[in-house]
Amino acid sequence: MSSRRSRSRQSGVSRITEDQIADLVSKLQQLIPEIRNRRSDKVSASKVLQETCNYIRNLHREVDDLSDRLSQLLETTDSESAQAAIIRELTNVNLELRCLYFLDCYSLGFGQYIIYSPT
Amino acid sequence: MPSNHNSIKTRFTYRFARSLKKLNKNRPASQSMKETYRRYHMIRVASYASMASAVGPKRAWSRAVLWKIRNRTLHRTLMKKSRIHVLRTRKVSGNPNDLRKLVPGGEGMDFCRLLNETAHYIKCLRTQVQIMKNIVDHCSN
Repeated sequence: MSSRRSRSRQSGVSRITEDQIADLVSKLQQLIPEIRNRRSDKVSASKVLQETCNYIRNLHREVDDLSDRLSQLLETTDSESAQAAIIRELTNVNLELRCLYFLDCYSLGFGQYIIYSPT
Repeated sequence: MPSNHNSIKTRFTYRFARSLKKLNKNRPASQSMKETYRRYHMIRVASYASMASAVGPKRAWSRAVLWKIRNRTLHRTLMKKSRIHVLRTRKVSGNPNDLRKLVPGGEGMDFCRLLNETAHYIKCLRTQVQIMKNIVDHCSN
């Protein structure tokens, strides 16, 4: 371990240190709801990695499930209310000024112009 | 950076909404199983593609996703070849290997980079799921 550190000091090239990895692992831990609140010394790095994998798999499954529901909803709902739902979601998203440019370019074809005030 | 993430959220919503609108326009008359599955598949791909293109080329995972989608045929051939190889050499999958398979583009990175990309990937996946949930909720009402 000490030889690795002295080597890096000599070569001047930044090597992957234990601290860097520990820092990244703790950042990951903050993102995962299962183990977010536990203290970092109680949760081992391999547990964090394992939970990360499970979390990503869950998110993928959720995307699949939501795509399935969306495809069913688009089939059953008429196009008017589907478009209205999409517009409603767009108005809820926090917009910045330059997104008005997007609106001009894409002009969603709904026949309405939506005025936003940046919040 | 919160301001960056807000603009990612916005771009994703626009692109995904545009794809949905396009898919909704070309609604086929028949409601066969095949058509339903095809529509489900296209919505799913549109969701991942919208997020990857909203993030742009600055992340390795988004580049990998966009490459995969744009080179579907080539990717499928490569996957077939690698699967045959994996069946022959049974590797015990530990944690880093699992993570590399789950994060797009994770195969060729060093561990530090992999963790970095994973964190960003998780943030964007969460946003993707949240916005899709919102759209579904609005549609159901």
